[in-house]
Amino acid sequence: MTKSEIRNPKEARNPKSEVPPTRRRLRASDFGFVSAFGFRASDLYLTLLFLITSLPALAQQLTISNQGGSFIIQGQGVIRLGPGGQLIDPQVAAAMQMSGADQPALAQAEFDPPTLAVGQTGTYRVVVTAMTEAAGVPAKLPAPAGLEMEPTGRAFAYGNGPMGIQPRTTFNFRVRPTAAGQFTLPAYDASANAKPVTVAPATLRVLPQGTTVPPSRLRLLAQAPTNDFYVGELIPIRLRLFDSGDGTVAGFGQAQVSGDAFVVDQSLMRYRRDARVENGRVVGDMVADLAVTPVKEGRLALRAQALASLFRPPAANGITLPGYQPLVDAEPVMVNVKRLPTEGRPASFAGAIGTFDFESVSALPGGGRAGEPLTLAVTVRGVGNIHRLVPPKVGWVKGWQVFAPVSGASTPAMDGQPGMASFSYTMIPLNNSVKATPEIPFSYFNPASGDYVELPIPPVPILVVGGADVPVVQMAPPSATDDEDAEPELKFAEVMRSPGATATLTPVQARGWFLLLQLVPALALGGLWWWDRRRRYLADHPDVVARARARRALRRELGRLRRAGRARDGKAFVESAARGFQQAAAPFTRANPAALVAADVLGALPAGERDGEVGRLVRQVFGAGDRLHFLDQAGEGAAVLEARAKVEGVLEQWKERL
Amino acid sequence: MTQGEVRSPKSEVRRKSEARIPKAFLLVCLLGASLSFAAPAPDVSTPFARGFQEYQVGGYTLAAETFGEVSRKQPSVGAFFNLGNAQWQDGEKGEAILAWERAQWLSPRNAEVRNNLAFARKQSQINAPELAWYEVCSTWLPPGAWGWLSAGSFWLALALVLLPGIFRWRRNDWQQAGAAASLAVFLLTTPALVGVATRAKLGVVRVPEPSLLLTPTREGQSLLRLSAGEVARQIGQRGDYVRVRTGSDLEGWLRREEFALVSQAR
Repeated sequence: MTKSEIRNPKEARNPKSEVPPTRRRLRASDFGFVSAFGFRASDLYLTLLFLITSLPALAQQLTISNQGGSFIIQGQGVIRLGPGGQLIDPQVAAAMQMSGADQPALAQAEFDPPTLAVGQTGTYRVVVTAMTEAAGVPAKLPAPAGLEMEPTGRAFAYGNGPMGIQPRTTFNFRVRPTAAGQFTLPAYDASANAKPVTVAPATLRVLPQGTTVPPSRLRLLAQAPTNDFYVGELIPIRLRLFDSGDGTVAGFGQAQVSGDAFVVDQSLMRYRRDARVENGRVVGDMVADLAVTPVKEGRLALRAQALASLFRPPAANGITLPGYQPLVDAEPVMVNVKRLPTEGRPASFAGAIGTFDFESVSALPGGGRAGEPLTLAVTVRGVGNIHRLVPPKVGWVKGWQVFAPVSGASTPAMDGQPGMASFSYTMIPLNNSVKATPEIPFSYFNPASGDYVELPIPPVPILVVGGADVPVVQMAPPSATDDEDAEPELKFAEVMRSPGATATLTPVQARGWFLLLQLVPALALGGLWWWDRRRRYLADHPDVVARARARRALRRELGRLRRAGRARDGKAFVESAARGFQQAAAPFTRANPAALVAADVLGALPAGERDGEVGRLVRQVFGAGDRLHFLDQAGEGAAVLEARAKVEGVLEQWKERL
Repeated sequence: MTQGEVRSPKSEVRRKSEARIPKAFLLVCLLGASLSFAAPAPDVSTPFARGFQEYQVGGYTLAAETFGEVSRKQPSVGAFFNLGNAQWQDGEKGEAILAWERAQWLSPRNAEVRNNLAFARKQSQINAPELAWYEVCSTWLPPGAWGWLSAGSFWLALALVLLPGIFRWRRNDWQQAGAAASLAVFLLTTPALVGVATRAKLGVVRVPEPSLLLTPTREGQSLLRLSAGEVARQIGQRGDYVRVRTGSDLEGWLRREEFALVSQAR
């Protein structure tokens, strides 16, 4: 790029806008699209949108952008106005229309056929114009007495409503009258989009048993083989929607089997029209061939249903929705399903049921050097659940490194025609001693013979060249403990013959008595500890022991003293008083109480008392005692008895001091 | 015995008695074995034996009622195990797993109970509850055994520390070792006791596919459909509802009758 020859002043190159900056109400991205879903538009814009929405059943995807103040509308979309006149986002509006949320919900019901005889069965059909997730009917309908009603299933389809497409959910109930008469199922509330919607009353006329009544124009027949089946085996089912001969039936769809005992394989479902001669006329029944797999054992009721499309709508009975597709029930078909035998089941059995054989087993390339991978391609052909065939795993093989199998294309077996399944293994020969691919165990269960058939994938000869072993670390052969396939099969343990020891679910530590029980060792150990501490204290403080002993002895002598005083026994009184003084003085002298004399007792007294009244009383008692003991002077006791109160008071005082 | 040694009469008596012990032991063993082999048929007069017979003839509903009565009056491993078997055969998966969980609570090492629980979980596609390490430890012994072991080891350790001082026994190595060992046992039992306490909050969903509600109200929003036999932890309760945490760490409310604790038989 050359330098510009034109002088361009800076102001001209980058002019500043004289217009004051205004806040743009509709923020647009760099690409020119509105960056939010909310519309902030002019009156012209609203008018234009209103005109578009006024067109019937218009479904357009519009993109509206604001570029320099002009609106651009392009593409297709749905534009709706809300209840308050506000615009609704086109995507929200489309979703509302698809779900029927923008339309008033309806619920209609009918008995099909409207007339039955006692013992016959019919169908009570309810249609709610809402998505199947948003539609509901009561689990128990207000059926009048004499009318047994049992829910059989539901189906969903779109139809054309007054405001465009209309979601329709159909609920079917099997009806069996037990008495003749006219039965009216009263109005009740169903639910649509979380709002109640009233189902109009429906009337069924029931004639006495044996009366011939015209059957329903819609008759679905389910046919299944009558032989026994095994759990996991593919059962071919044929559903036939009869054409009444007037060309009413246009087609049918959504063939289904209700209940949790069967799994329907949608990939094997085929619809066709089958010509049949009735009353000399050729009519075209609709036929659906499907395959179900039982997942339970026992005698199972297979209940099938399908939505019928009609060329001509039936006469108004109760459901008047235009283009309505009724859900038709077939009579249940009983199927006997047995469990696969456990006896003789090979370890390689992986659920293949039918009759199978190998169409081709090839190794590509057929030779090579050790360490170079080759592909073992296997094609199995047979009748049964071949489209669900699980390629057999390969365990540890000496001299080989084998990778997990990879499933290839498969063709289901239908109408008795065999199907095919292919899978392949990537294998690496680890040395030149291997001459063929390993034999891979495979087995299947043959329901016709009722036994397992082992059909190992045969070895394919290969040529491996190369002198030495490939430096590939081959894993050690798996032991029984780390092989997940070697997991022991769990078997149900039967009942015990004895109950065992009685126990409680609440553990002892959560019980109050257990916590209280802990007080026993706590108190025992605490008591022992306290006793030991007391013992040690007393051993360190012998005066405490002596005082306690003196208190006890003094209490004893005081008792004797009082008894002697009451008995006016002077001698006994004096002796008790003397012994009391001895006991009281003993802790202070640390001597044997019996060895104390008056001087010792006086020595134990405080200095003030020794020379006072107490000292005199002590001397009197001990003097009287000596005289009584050595001189046998009985009158001495009487003199001391006179001072009985004082003696007792002194001894009480001493006891307190101890 | 070497020459010149004199065999004392006392030692002679002991030798003879020692020689008699194996014979006596053998006799006791033989007697025990014969008694065990010749055990009489179960007495049908007991409710347990009656339930056993009802189960054997295929009366699973009746057997479940009988074993349920037995497990209420005299709870035992056998009663709960057989109750679970009868309920399983009767199609009550949630109740069966609850009964087996209770049997395992009482006897965590019982192989038959473990087997049937694993069998039921495999059949019902239900995961076993995830336990914390201390809860796993607590499953090594019955819950009550941890209480006795913990209390016994604690008091034994305390006694071995205190009693020699109190009774002026000479301190021995075995006393010290015993005290240390007891204290170690006590400390080791503590996590297990915590595990028992937290496991006591485990419960089983009894009914098929109850709704796990966001709020404990009748009109509560359903968060999830649980499976019968699924194990959850109770973390609260209010009125007729219990707050539980499922194995997928989702919390919500279940009605009381839909959930039962393993450790509490109502």
